Amino acid sequence: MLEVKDLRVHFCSAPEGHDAVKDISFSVGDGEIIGMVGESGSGKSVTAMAVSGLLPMGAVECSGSICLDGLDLLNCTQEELRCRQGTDLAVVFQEPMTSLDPVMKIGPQVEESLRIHTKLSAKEQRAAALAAMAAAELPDPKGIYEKYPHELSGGMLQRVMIAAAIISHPRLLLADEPTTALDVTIQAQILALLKKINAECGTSILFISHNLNVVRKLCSQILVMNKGRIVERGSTDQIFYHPQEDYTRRLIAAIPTRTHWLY
Amino acid sequence: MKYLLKKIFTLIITLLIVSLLAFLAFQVISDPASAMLGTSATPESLAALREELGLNRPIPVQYFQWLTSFLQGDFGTSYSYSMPVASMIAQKLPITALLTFFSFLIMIVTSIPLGIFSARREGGLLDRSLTVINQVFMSIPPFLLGVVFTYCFGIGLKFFVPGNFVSYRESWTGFLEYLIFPALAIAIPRIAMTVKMLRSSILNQMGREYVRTARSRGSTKDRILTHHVLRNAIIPVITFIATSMAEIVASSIIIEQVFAIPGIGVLLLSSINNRDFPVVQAIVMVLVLWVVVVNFIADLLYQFMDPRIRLD
Amino acid sequence: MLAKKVKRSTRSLSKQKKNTLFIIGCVLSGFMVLLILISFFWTPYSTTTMDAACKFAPPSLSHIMGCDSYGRDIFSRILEGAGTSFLIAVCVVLIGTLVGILTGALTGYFGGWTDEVLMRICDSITAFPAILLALVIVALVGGSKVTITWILGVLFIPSFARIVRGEYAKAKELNYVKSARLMGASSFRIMFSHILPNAIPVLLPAITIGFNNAVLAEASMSYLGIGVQPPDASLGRMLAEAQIYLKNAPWYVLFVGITIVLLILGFSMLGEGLQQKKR
Repeated sequence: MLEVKDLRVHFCSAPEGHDAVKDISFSVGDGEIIGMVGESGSGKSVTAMAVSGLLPMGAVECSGSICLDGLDLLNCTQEELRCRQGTDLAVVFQEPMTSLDPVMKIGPQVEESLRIHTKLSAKEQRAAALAAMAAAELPDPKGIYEKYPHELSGGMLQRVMIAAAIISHPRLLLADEPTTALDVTIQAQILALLKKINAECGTSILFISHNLNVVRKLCSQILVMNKGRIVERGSTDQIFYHPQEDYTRRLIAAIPTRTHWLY
Repeated sequence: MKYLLKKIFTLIITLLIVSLLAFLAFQVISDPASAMLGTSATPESLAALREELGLNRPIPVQYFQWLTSFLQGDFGTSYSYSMPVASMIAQKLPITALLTFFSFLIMIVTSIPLGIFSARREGGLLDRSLTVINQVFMSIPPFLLGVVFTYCFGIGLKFFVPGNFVSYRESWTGFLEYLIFPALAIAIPRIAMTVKMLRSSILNQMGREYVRTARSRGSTKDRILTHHVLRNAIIPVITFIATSMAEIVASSIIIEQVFAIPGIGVLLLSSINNRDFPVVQAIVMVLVLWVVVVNFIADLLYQFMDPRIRLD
Repeated sequence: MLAKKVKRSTRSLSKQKKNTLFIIGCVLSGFMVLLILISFFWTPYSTTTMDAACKFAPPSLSHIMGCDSYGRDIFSRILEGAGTSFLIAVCVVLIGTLVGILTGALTGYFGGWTDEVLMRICDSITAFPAILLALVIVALVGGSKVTITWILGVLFIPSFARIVRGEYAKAKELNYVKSARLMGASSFRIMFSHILPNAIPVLLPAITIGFNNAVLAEASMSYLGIGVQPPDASLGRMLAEAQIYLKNAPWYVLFVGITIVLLILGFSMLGEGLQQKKR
């Protein structure tokens, strides 16, 4: 469904610029949950932004191809890309508090992709929003519909973001470190929610994180990135129990686990 | 509700304090008796007048009396014209008020579209030249603009006759036609400042994360601007617009002098020169009331626009 | 030095944009200040000599800005007027900044209810346009060069005090202040050796804005006739005179006006450039 071939993202800052992503290729099939891990600066967030078409236009140069159901997002018109954003592609960001418009109520923000891309009536949009919020396991969707972002906690806001993302039944959901800013208990809930959405709606998920533990719980396939390249890829079991690359081994060894405390 | 009441309470306290200061300044410190009788008065006539005016009574009593009459609409009597100050003000106030509102209207109607336009065209030669032009207009004092307009449009192009004020009682169109240039002279420097503020506020908002979220949902740049950014960007500008209202009042006092408009400003200045304190005092109170009320309304508006600071 | 600056700016366009404003501001205000300083010692003609032959003379080689109604050279008078306005504005800003820094530092650093009360008073004063307040006070004490300077100076204190107070209140919580306190530094030392150097950059744009507002306020009041009184020269006063002769000698208004604008523009660009440098 998503085919990324030889993607290269070059940031044009002074003096010669630098390559954040160096000729990577990967694919995401229907209904798969793929994890992308790496440290800060490995290029994973940049890849996510490239796939969702959110890179700052003037400051970067891209080459390669990103094919979503056959359409090359890097080499299509702005309008074609825009039509896919919010319908087939949806993004959940790291900081839910700042990712929502502070002066707008929750409800209209959840409905936004419908408002942009469809001609549904206000009533239909509201119904869809409430349904999406319920699917995102928000308690009291009707009440939350009328609230403002600053009145909700981080965990609730992230559910709101997820509701806004799934309302148009996207083919691919990009989650850019969605649990990093949340408490550990809430993290587990959000992960479970994402798994449920994948199972029930068949939405593929590209999950970006620097936290291997989180990725392990959720993803079936893992891509390990380092300095702009994919250094290793495989199923979750393969990566964790039979890591081939040195870098991967070091990443895994760096996870604090209970077994370490026993020694 | 509670917040509103607290704000109104603060407003009243401010007004009372100002009225006390004004009273002390004009009634107590400067001797009304000598101001009325002039320098040739004899000590006996001064003493007699003081007794008559009740200036020998304790100050709190005087203040209380003055305050109560003031609140009932009795602003005292002018030293120079022996007329009730209230009627003098009532005659001139509408003219200044209309000039002020006219300028304010021009300011709002022009600066918001210009600010948006300027933010949209960020970067590039047009934007840079506009910034410089904007900077120049911000540096031109209103009264200078007034004199320039008088020359260019009055004497030069003969759009109006300088000094030939037309009252609204005679002709509304003539009145408005005469007021256009004074209003523009007041408004233009403020427009430049507001455009700059709005532009930087919009650009600041465009860098925020919720804009990225909107883009990820497939929103067009225009839609992001109108539906999200504007409402967020205008919030810090509201206080500035409120301050502008107060500044416009101050500028109109000067502009009235430039264009010979018989409003409150001209009255204030002549009263200052004649040491006609009751008039000065009353006008000061009116202007203070005006500024305080404007700030109060701006505060309410701020609350209305930004749900984060809404208190109950 | 200049060559290095140019090289660095050609690399990133945005930086170049910021520097231009600052440079123009520096050049313009520097030029005006230089002219004014020179005028304190020498002017092309005496500002009081009346040459009846030159009445309303248009700009010419001998009188580059022409002559006024009394035959006095306009250029020399403008220089003198600009000098007065400039001096008054500088004194006003000095009073405002010095007292403002003192007040702001003390209230911001120590806080407490004096801080609350003083800040409330400052807020009330800044809510009113300075010109209105100045008018009222002039009504009581009469106008002159000295009174205007003091009145405006005092009226400008609250805005500076507010900014300084904000910086001190913020700095109070920062680690470098806390460690200085732990090391036993006296409050005075902390306030003026440690925090003040960090507060000054924030104050610089406000100082240029304050300077412009002072020039504006003084010019407005002199224009109205209640500021600087003759024989002292002032650009505002001259503009009022020039307006009377608008038909006969429009260049009078033009030159006075341009001088006022250049004076204000120079410092306003300087302030803008400083603010952008900060970013």
